[in-house]
Amino acid sequence: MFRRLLPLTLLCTLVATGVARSTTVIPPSFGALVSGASTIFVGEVMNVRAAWESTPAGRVIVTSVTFRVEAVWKGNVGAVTQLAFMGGEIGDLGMMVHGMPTFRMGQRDVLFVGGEARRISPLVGLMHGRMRVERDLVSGVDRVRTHDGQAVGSVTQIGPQRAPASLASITPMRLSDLEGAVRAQATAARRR
Amino acid sequence: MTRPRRGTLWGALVVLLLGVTAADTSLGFSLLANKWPNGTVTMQLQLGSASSTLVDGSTSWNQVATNALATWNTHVDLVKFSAVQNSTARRAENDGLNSVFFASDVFGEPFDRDTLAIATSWYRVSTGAKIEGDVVFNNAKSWNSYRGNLRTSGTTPVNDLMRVALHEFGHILGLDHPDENGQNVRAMMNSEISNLDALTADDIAGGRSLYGGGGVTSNVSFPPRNEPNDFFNQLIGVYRNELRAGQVTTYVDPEGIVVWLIEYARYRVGLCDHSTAQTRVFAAIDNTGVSGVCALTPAGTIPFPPRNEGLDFMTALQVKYRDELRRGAGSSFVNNEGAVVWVLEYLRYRLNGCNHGDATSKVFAQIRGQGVQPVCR
Repeated sequence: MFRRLLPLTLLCTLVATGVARSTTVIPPSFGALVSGASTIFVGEVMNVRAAWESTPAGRVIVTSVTFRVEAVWKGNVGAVTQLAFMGGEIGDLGMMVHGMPTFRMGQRDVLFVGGEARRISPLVGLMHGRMRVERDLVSGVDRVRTHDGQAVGSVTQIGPQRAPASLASITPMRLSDLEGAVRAQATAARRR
Repeated sequence: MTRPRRGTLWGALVVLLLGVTAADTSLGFSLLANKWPNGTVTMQLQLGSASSTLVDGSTSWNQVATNALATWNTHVDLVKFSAVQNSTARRAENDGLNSVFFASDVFGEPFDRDTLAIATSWYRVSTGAKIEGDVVFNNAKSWNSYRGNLRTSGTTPVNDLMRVALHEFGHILGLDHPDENGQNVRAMMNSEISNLDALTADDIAGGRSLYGGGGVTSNVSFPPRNEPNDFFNQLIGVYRNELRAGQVTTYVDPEGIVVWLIEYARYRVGLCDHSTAQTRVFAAIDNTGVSGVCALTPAGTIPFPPRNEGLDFMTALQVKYRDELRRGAGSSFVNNEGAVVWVLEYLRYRLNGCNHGDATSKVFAQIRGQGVQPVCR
């Protein structure tokens, strides 16, 4: 009987499993995520490529991630767009910026992209401006999780007040619900 | 004695599982994929002097950072930080120097408004060996150094350099965020800054798992082996006579199950992660050495590992007995899940103040659907 309960155990304990690594960032609220972003879009990772880049402080590795844009919720962005993140691996040398999100081909994400031309991360709140999209294999419904894989039941659970992993929602909110919340937030901000 | 109803048992187990998963008792620091070779990691401190004495009495930012490095040094053996005070080294990436300084940008790229500090690491992909680690603190933020709850000046947060430095230097050592990797622990290495102002047992266990020098002596007393063996024999009787369990194949004899589950639990209670605990138990089975635990168990209710990890250990133990020790197949009325769940539950009661008789009774009460029993202290 324990074997039959294992999926429940794993669901409870692994629901927040993630890959992002972080430095010290104050998590922005949902409102700050939306207002701080010049563009918000849903994209699928088409390509990931690391390259050397010269800076006044020496050469660094920058990883360019190319997205096929599925939907644009705020601002303007083309059908294909590219974002650059400091860090990556070239040959036998790796540069890790602790907290920088990493991407793999085929992943789908909601990206909250900041307005400034260049920063160490193009996303609002470094890693917090990335929400991961996953498709429910049974229902076919797209659902969203935070950058580190934690389920959020609603946008009120995004930001500094988010619940610890053990108390997080088990069922992530629908992508369509997040879209509605983003559009409402953006509209409300314009009215103000 | 009546046979427990199936639904009651299910209910008891579900309650137990939910209780275990919701409690803040799991242990599990999280590690990055790279670490330093054994030796000294020299940090170039370029934070400068404070404009006035800081709340904790420090007179310079470098002093605060030095204290943070020294704190980590007290808990690791194979790698030690050293500090070059008031270093004038050029601040650059990929130069082999480990720089620590304030700036408005990270090697040319501006901070965003939410970021207090950034740690970067350079490493060899093939070996995972770190070769450089830099920490940049955002000079657009308000800083001080103090203990206790986070402070504000008006509505502006006053950030504590000490706790942020402890966190960033933890990254430099090779520690990741436990809370972003499925853990629910109290740790300075969690991703969000909080009122926590010092390293915790979980942080220390993480540091020691990377650079500990052979472990430490456990501060937890486990029961003599004859008592858990007696418990397990009684458990077999309950499974056979009350639960009417069928026999399952096992390659590990009952005594082996009890002995090695106890050893696994000893390492886990001693703040070793699952992988480290399993490795150390298997080393003992192979007679290649007995290690100490990873860190002292903190005071209070003694925490236990998640059951799925205990089950993973038990499965690996069966494979080891079958494939490496070439043990033949036997049979038991208690399957792997039952052994892991109830032996660990028995130990949980024993380590939390219950004697053999009470612990046995409490476990059997659970099996009979009477819910999780209170520990004895």
